[in-house]
Amino acid sequence: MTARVQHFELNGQRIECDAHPSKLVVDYLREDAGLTGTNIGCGEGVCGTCSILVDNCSARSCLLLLGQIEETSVLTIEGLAGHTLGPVIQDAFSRHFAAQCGYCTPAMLLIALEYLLDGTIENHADKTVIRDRLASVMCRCTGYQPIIDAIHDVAKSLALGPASQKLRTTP
Amino acid sequence: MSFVPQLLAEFPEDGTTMKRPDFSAPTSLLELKHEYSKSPEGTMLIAGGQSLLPALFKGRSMPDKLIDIGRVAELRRLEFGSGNVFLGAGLTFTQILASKGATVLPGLVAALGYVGNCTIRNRATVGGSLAWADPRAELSLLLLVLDAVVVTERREFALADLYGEAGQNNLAPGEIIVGVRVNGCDAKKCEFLELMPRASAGRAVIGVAVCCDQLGSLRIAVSGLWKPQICASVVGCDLGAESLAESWLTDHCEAAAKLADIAFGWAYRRRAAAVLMTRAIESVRR
Amino acid sequence: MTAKIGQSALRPDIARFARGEGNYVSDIPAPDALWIALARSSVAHAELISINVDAARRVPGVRGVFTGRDLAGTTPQSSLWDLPGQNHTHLRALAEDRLRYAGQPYAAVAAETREAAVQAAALITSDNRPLETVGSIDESLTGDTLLYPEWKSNAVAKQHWEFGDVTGALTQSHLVVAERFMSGRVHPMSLEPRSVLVRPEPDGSLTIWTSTQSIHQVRASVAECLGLPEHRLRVIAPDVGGSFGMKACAYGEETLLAFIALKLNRPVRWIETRREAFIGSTHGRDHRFDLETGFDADGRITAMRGEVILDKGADAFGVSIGTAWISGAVITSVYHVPAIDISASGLVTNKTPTGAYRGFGQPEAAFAIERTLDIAANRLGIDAAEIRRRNFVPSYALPYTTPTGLVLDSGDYTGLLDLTLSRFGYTDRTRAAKSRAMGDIRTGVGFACYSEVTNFGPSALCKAIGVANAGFDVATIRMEPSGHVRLFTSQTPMGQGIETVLAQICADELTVPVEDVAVVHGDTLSASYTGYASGGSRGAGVGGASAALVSRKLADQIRRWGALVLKADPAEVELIQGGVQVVDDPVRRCSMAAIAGEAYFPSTVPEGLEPGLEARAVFEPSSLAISYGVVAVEIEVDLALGTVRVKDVVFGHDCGVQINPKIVEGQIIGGVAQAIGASLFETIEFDDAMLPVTTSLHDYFLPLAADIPTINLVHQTTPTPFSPLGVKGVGESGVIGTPAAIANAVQHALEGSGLLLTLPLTPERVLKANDTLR
Repeated sequence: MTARVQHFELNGQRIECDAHPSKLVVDYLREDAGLTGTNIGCGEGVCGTCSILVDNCSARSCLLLLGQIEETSVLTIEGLAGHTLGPVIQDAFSRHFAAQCGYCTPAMLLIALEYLLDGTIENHADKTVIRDRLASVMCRCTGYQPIIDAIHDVAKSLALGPASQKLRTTP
Repeated sequence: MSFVPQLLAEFPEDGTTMKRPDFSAPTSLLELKHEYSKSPEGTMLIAGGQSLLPALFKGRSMPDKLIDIGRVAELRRLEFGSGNVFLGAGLTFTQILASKGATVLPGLVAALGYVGNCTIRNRATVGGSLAWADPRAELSLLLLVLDAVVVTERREFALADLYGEAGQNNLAPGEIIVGVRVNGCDAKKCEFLELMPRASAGRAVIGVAVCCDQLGSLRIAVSGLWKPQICASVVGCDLGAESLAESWLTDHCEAAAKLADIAFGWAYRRRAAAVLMTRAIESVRR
Repeated sequence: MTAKIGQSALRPDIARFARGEGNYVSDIPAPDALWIALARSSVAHAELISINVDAARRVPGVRGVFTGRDLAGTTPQSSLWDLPGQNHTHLRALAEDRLRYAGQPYAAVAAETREAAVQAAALITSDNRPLETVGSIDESLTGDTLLYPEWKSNAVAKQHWEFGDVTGALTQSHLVVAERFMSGRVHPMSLEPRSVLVRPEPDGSLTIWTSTQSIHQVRASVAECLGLPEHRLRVIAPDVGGSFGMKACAYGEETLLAFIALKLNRPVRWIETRREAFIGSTHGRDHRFDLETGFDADGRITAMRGEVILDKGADAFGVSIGTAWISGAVITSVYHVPAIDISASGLVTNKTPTGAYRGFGQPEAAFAIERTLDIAANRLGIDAAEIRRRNFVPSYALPYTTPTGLVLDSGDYTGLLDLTLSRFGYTDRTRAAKSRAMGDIRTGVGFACYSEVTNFGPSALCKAIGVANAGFDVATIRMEPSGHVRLFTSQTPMGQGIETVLAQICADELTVPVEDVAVVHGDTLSASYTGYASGGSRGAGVGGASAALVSRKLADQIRRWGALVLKADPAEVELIQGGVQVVDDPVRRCSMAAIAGEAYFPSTVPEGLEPGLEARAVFEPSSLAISYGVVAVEIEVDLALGTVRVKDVVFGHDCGVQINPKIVEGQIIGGVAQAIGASLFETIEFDDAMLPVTTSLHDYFLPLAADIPTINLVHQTTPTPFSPLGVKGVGESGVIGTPAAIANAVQHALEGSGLLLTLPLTPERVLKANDTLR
């Protein structure tokens, strides 16, 4: 048994925890941190339901060990509202009916945030690019269309000027 | 067949407490070598974990110890010059795709674009992909036709020699992949095509990589048919693309054990491989 | 916010989901609960001689191991659908003397941690005597091996419809199309697996949280199996992470966990793993439809003879052969068929049981009839749209009773076909498709019509067709002293947004803002009894109707209390803008709060009223409502690889009055996406020993965003006369016609090839049809 303390940031808060570093992050989040917004769909890394952001990059929390997030900054759905873009994305999902059963919704929102923050993408409002990016998460209810519309809506509203750059880079 | 899920934990026959693999995350290659050499048999290196963890869930026996290579700076080297590329084992596919060097290696952007999806590419690494020897992996297929050289902490050897008959890797106990080097790729043209079960994302049904050098000689590799990925050169051949693909596949058909695929039968995959190979050959000859 | 019927009121639960505040069964804290893990059969068919549980008992933390023997004193689970002459399996939650499918649970472990439970379950083994397996409909038909020897055959039940002189009509037909149409086995695959938590309460009652569509069915099942009184059982469905019919019926796990909770007097919980979901939750489709359809020279249908057989898997629990029954009953769809001879049956095999899945037999029937019409049109040289126009039941003939006894209530089939095809650009696209060939890529254009049985169902009909429960819906309503409203429904939200729809109906009837209506659902403690909760596309049409009726009753009370407050004649006042006022005299007006204040603390009570504001109403549908539509698609097929991409979908439909159009749209688009999966990618496969090989999402290909094109909708609105709001159901519309439309389009692209008669259209099947597979 490796006894050591893990340090990382979780939804903006500095965390020190002594859970086993070989524990899956999703189990840590749900069992130890009490953050049940991260849902488990397949537990084998395929469906993407358990996606979280680690240093602004999406990761399947069912394929991630606690030891691997040492000294990183982790964002789960519970922390999304704390991000500048969080409420904007949340509002767009509501307006576009971009959820039905809600099970994949936390993952979809985080993937949307990662996408909107991704500086390598030329035109965030390109629906084909959005569609391809959504391959990370499965949705069984919506047929993806309203989710694409919601992300497209946010991308369009973020004029690609310096102000939006600032919005994107401010955590 | 077991329908009970494996967990990342085991109960020793005699013990009373649950046991999880030990975990360490060295920050230098030296430290990594030291850690790994302590008990190479019971230890597994974990990079992104995108292949390792699913395999453990599916019942692959649990290691006593996991060593995370993600913090080893020496493993994240990314170098590219005219026609030469070095990809550190610890680099993620997303990091590579975001780098200016991605286009130096012909076919790399296409090949990595087929890997899983953005979230998987964020975690999947060069070293993990090569060491795991997944018969359907994209990166190794491309690197095979580019004659890549594997660099470990103790030696260098051709990528083709990394893989054994059954598709496992041939690394010595305790040996660590530091990265992979490709030389002289500026004069080469590559096409990478993959048939997936859906329009995007997921595993390969068939992957084909074709590399054409200045002289028009072809090097072809295919995944999804045999347990190891098969790569072989065609020298000075003036056959049409379709005939060439067919003869290449026929020549290598007996080469190795067939790969099973739950969803796609052998005859279909064999046919699809010929189609993709034909298209890839046509593309590099264009 | 006002949210009248026809406006797309936002769903408040989406905002909640977007904050990560979904509350699924696995999110409910129960730190004191024992974890349950199941040992499942690893063989498809065997006599169960003995079970070895010693090693499991020795795992630290294990508090109990249970086998079929422990459950022997309980009552076997009954079937929701019980046709005359039906055979029953009488199975309990754990196998007793025989294992009948790989994955069937035969032992359960309760332990302090999930890890211990799983580890212990893995150590349980059984001694078996192998039996021959029954792997297909054909093997089952021979009866050489019987799953239930006492039945004397493998047939669960049969149904037969006969009308007119079919033999004569077919003999005289100009053309007879006779083919076998196969709809493969698929998995409904809710992303939330099933999950159950049972807590023994201090008063001796049990609370069961379960991911289900049907709280009262679960309660009835647990009560019956364990002999518990229903007033001591409380079943709660919190947020349900998708269900699609798969969670429509009670499962053995609910009974099993209740049993263990009582035995150990501890809360117990179980969360299905994805691998378990693949083998332990009911599958869908797996129908074989042999259909012979006669046509005259003008393409008019003369008669149909057909036999639909369902591969029921190993247990007839839940909906029994219901999907085959519906398949047979709807085979004539929206067409006038003068003579029929149709039989429907279900056979047991050594596979995971099939059950309800969105569409429930209708996509299978639509695939048969809509492919048949395209084949006939092609052979007769008639346009595919024209042959349908010639066979539609005309609007003037509605309501029209089909030869299987269903009533087509209202609509304009030709109108919607023409509107949809014109919006789609059918003629131009069909012409252009041929000139668009590029290398191996071909474009195909096709469409299919569909009908959808909704607003299930009149209780008398349920009784007549062997469904064990009544089909009425009860709603109760209360205006609180503050003037705000609570509606209590037995409908179950599972992502479809029914709670928003019901709130809208109440708000509209009571003229109050939609925020002033709270809908209480998913709890047998608050909901009145319902035989069927949400399912059978009945939420809006039936649940909505009772919500409207109960709101009207409450509105009447409000009006009379309002008249008292305003000192006016009740006949002179009306509900308007969230209050009551004297007609044409807005000055004489009082708020709901004032009215509620009076009703809850009255000086005098008007004649015929009682203090307080509460009402109860029942809606018993007098007939089904038949929604219908047209799905037009353009596809691309790679002739060399056999791969198909759906490029464009225009979906025309008529579900009567739409309460919330965005929710309707979501139902259709989501349904189309599922249908694209079932048409192209999704298939559950077994090996020669009938062991399931598709047990992971690595190998079961759910459609991803890039597989679904933008879907454009065309709406037509014909209210049904059989529901007070004119509302028909829509939940299953998307899945019914789409597979046939895609197959018709692919067939169009593969002009001159063999017929596509089996779903899904895997690349291998497409190549085979195109005769290019070497």
